[in-house]
Amino acid sequence: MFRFIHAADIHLDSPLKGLELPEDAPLEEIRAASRRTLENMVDLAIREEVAFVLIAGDLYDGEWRDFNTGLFFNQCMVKLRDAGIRVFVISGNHDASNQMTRTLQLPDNVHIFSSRKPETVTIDNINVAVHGQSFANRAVSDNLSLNYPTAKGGHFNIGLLHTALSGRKGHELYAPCTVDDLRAKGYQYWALGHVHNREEVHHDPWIVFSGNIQGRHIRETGAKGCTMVTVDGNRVSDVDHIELDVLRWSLYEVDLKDCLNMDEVCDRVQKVFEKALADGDGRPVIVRLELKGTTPAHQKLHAQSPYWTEEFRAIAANLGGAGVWLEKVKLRTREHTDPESLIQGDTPIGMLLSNLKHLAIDVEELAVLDPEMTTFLSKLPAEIRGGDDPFDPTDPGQWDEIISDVKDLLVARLLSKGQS
Amino acid sequence: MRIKRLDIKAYGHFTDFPIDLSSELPGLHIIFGPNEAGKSTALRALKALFYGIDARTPDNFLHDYSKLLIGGHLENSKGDSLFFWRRKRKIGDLLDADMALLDAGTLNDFLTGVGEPLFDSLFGINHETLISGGQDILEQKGDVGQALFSAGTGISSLHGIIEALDRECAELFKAGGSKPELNKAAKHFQSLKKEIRDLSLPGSKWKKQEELFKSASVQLINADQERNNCRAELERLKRLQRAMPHLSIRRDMLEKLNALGSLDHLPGNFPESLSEIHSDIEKFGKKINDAESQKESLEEKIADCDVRQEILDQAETVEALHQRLGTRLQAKKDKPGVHDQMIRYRTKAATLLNQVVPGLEISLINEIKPFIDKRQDILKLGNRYAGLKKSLKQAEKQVKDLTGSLMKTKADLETLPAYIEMSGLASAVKSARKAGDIDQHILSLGLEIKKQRSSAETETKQLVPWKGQVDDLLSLPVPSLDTVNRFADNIRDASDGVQDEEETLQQAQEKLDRIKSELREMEKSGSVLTVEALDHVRDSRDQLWKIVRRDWLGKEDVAGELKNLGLNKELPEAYEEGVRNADDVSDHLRTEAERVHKYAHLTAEAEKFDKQIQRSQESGDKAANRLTQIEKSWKEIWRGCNITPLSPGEMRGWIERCQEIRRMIRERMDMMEQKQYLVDQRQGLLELLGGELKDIGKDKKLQSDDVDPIITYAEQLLEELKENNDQRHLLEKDIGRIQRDIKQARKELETSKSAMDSWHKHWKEPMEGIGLAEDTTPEYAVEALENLRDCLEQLEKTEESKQRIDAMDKFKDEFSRDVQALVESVAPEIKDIPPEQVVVKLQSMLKEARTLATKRDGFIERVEATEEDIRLAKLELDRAMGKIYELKKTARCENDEQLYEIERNFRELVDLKEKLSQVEETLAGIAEGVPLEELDKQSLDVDPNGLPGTIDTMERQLKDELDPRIQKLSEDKGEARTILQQMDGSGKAAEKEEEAQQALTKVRRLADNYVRLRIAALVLKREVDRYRQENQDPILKIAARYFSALTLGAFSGLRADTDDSGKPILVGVCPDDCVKTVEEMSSGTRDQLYLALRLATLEWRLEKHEPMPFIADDILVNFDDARAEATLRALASLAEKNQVILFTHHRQIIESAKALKLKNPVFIHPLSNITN
Repeated sequence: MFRFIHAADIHLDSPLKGLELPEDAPLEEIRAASRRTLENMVDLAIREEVAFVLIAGDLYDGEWRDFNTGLFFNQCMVKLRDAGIRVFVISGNHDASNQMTRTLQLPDNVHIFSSRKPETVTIDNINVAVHGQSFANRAVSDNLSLNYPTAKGGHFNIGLLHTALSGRKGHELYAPCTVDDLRAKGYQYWALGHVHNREEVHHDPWIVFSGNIQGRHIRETGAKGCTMVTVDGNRVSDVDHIELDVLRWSLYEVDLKDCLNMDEVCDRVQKVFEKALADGDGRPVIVRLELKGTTPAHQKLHAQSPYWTEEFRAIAANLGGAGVWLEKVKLRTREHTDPESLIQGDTPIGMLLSNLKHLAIDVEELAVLDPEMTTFLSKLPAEIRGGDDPFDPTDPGQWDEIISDVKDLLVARLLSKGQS
Repeated sequence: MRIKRLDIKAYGHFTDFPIDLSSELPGLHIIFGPNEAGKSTALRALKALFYGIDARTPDNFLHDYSKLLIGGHLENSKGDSLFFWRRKRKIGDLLDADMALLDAGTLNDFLTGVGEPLFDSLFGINHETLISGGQDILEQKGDVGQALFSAGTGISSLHGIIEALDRECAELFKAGGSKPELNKAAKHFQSLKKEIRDLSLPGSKWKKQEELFKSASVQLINADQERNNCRAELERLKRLQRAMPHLSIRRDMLEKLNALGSLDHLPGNFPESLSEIHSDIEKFGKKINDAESQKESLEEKIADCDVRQEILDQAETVEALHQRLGTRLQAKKDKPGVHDQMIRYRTKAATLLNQVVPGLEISLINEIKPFIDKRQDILKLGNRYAGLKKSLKQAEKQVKDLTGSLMKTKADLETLPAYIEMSGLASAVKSARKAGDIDQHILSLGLEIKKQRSSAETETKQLVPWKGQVDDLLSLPVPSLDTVNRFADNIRDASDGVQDEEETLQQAQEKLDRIKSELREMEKSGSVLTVEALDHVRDSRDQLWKIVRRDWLGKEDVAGELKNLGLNKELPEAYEEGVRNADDVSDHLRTEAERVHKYAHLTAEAEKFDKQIQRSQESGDKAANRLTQIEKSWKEIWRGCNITPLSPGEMRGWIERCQEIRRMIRERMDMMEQKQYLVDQRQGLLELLGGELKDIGKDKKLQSDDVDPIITYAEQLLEELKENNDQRHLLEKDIGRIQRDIKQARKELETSKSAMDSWHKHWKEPMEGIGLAEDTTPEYAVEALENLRDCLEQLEKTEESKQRIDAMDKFKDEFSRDVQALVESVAPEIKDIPPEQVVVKLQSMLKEARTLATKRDGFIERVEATEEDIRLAKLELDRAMGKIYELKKTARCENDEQLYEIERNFRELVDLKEKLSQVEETLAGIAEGVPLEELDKQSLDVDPNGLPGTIDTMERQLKDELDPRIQKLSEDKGEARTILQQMDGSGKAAEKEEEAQQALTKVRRLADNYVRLRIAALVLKREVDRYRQENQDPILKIAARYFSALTLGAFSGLRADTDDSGKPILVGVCPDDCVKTVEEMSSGTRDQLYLALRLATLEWRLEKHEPMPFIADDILVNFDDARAEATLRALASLAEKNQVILFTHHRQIIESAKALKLKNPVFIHPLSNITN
């Protein structure tokens, strides 16, 4: 009997995204999360005396150039070498474009599979054969699995592959293949990488995405870690998910129905935070709140949304424990009655709202309407105009959201503040 | 839409409180409630009726949430009306008139989609909105668009909102700025990116560094190897260089050793043993010679010593005499002095005795000696005399002083007035004081009684309709308040009954009149046939038919009958006409069935109302009768008071006033009683005090009735009397004390006298014994006794001196006899010199004999020791000679010469071996492990002359070439390693990236905010402008009219103008056509401008929209009368088309409204009566 660890998508030194912490936040708690998670994995391997460790691609993060990252990885691998643990690594799409992969010399317990063709490494004392192939470049559109050799007789066969299978939401379709393609090879375990959500795709043979080891933004919620596989008599006898993450991302929808005022809203938010804290199981939890439902507090929330966001932050800060950090508050609440139906079409506010609905502005038009807006856009850092979630007011989706917010903002201010 | 009726069934403190807002025109309704009357509650109830009861309304203090209920009757311009109830429920809070659930849509038809916020802002206005609306117009500098938009939406602070949006935008971002948050955040992000670049380690740099390190390491290893080789050769050569001299010495030594051959049979200490024995023989021989010559010299010295033995034998006797010689010589010296002393003592004793007892022989001294021995007793007795004398004197003085003092005190007492008893007066004063300020009390009671009386009289005069004297009131049989209340209820019920009946009658009468007029109208538009008419024509027809039958079948003559029936036609015609008539009526009834039915119904109704009227009249009469009866009884119960009563309500007030007066009368009577009691009490006190004063003869007449002056007088008197009595008491006490003291002093005087007598008796005896007079003073007696004692002492000393002289003489004789006896036996040669000198001489002879004897004994001892030394030295010498013999045997030689030859060879061999070992040791140190033979061999291969040159060359190579190279290489390697170690996988860049992501998120958040605020501001401004363009002209026209009216013509109108920057602004037009900007208007005028715009917007809306009630909450609160009137007029003008409900708690508004005399009435709805 022996055990091994299957991990993937470490994205070492990639930062936490979309998080804005107050100046007094204890940053130590969440600093260098990916490094600490990797250290957790190394400690786990040594503590549990695993036979070897598999890393199914995306060790590094795309464009990150700091060679220190590689050196840190090297230090971790040296620890495993000192404990007599071998490591098998394939490069994923992120690694392929990272020069670290080429320059870094890893200790002799680490084997990186070739990107030219599938390679097989055997571990003789426990009769294990590991088959794998690295990505040669960022976008591999071939079905790599087809060229993998068939199972080696008398061995426990493991396939190490970076793939999106036949497609997974939010992930590029690299190295596409089907479950049948994989089953056809006759291996006992397929260690897959690339998809960040943990998934047991198939049980006989085992085809598993271990998911990434640390969530880095609000789209990577929940517990993260690696998969611990126990093999007994050339058969998988146990597959466990081990949590390694040092902090956790959580998205909570809060229904504010029946909340008559802001006190009740705050109470409900506090309850959500308390649950988040408990779910974090001793880790700091980063929370996004999506407030929804029809509530009399709607106007208050919209008229002063930054203020209430700060209030919620204060509630989180008072919880104590490992800490709950508010990433963002999304307001999706509704007025008891839709203002548009309340306001007759030809009152000034009614006209305003009806005109607002038809306000279609692209960058040029916006520039005519407001020359300062062009300057504004040009002053923004290129990073927020690009990337995964670019800031682009002219994008129809974002524009709709802006107009909806503007509507709520104006109605709230004109009707609630305007009178007193 | 307008509100016809607001029915507050249960809300706030209202219960069943309807407000009737029905009027012909929509109308101006003023709902008036003073503070706390529920004006705000009514306002909330009105809004709750439309939009539901607030979930947390505070208006549940009287009625539970579940019981809150408000009803309303609405009517829209089409004439549809809706009566409904609103209760407090989340769902299903609308009910129809029958309390069945009502669909919310039904109400929405009346509200025409106006939601609560819009209703609040557009159709509601209060004082604060008005003021801030006026203020906002100033802040926006009369901006037409903003003014119209504000009024159009009912917002009072649009300018504030726009400004806030602009400000918040500017706080977030400014082109070219650095302080706004977003500019700051973007800059921070850029600086973080730069830091990341600086902190990042490129892979190429690391690789290069690693190669550098490796190459330095290899080179270093090679260089080290080379240097090691060089150092080894150098060491070898240096070693040889050092070893060569030692190697050649060693070779010589080895040759010499060979030549000496073997001496191994000799012991290792052979030479030492030999020389030791030789020195022993020499040493002991010398010792023997020395000792023998010393012995000879000692024996000569013994012979020289001559000792006088006879003196030595008498040594003790000589020494004893020598000791006695000292005493003898001292006595000889002292004797004359002692003799003189004796003579002086005797003379002094005689002198002293003569001083005390002249003429007494010294030999008779022993006769008075017994008295002198009792000297101490006599002295003690003498000492007591002075004390006794002093006591006697003191006692006499005290008796004299006390007697004087007694006389003086008695004289003082006689001068004081006699003692007066004052306890009676004191207790009388105490009782008077206890009664308090009785005078003041009586005075104020008198005043109060007067006051009470005059108030009661004044009040009584106001007790209309009753006429009478104050005091009669008490006996007046006034009915109880309960009775009055009962009558009030009864009369109200009865008159309500009368009124109800009248109303019912009137309503019935109205209805009857309406029915009758309808009937008349029906009758006017053609006769209305009734079923009775049909019956009637059918009866005629049937009757005719019977006649026809009888005529036809019975052949009866029916002509007469026909005539009787008034038919002047022939029977057939008559019957045919009868049939036709019946058919006609029947047809008619059928064709006009509806009209007929209505007519019948109306007729029945008319009858019903006739009866109802009759009943109502009867009930009315009954009710009127009852009322009259009650009113009669009402008057009856007042007959006893001789009053014709007003209404029960008024009489209730009367009774309350009457009871108040009665209370006053009773209070006055109480006070009078109290006053009389006090006067009596005062009189008693006056009498009591007067009596007491008279008793002690101090009575005094005073003018007033008041008791206080008498009390004060009595108190002063009491104080004086007390002082006198106290003084007397003190003096009497003193006299008693002095008399007691005198008695005591006389007793002490007697005692002192008797003690003095006793002393004199004791003194007489010793004085006579000594020979002194009886009256000798103690002082003199002391002196005499001292002299006698000295005399006795001098006599004792004389005796002592005489005895000493006798002893000296005796010692001298014995000493001379002993000296003579000794000298004759031991030294007869000196027997003729005085004994003292003989003793000295003998002593010196003894000393000399002793010294010589000691010297001789020492010499004898030393001779004996020397003889022992000689014997021992001879023994040692023999043993050494034996050892010499043994050694010769060992060395295999026969004589001493051979023995010494062998000894020299042996010494040389030992010396060589030691030196060789030293040389080899030195070489071993140099060889550093190389065997000596190997070293010796190597040295033979080397040219000693070339060696230093070779060594020098190699040393230079090491120092100048190899060492620096290695130094540099290891520095290079160390530096490369340090740099490489610094590339330690640090997470600093990654941490900065983390920070950068946070900064980026902040930028993102701020950008999101900014875009929203910016667009909101733009859109709002654009809409404001658009609204102005579309509505400016019509609204300003209406607003101008209102403005002129509200400012009482101070302005004739309003106009849009432009300011310096071309922006449209609002200006007021004065009657003389000049214009005023809003800045030039007073703040009150601006408030009116805002109101004018609001009213104009409402009026403008009416053209296209269903009206909604306009709710004004106390907007006139700060207006002066003229402006309040102008505003009321403006509201009334609007109210012709649109219902206006003005809530106020100022009665003045009501008065103004009533005084206005408007074309259309203003409806006032007081809220106050609900509070009763």
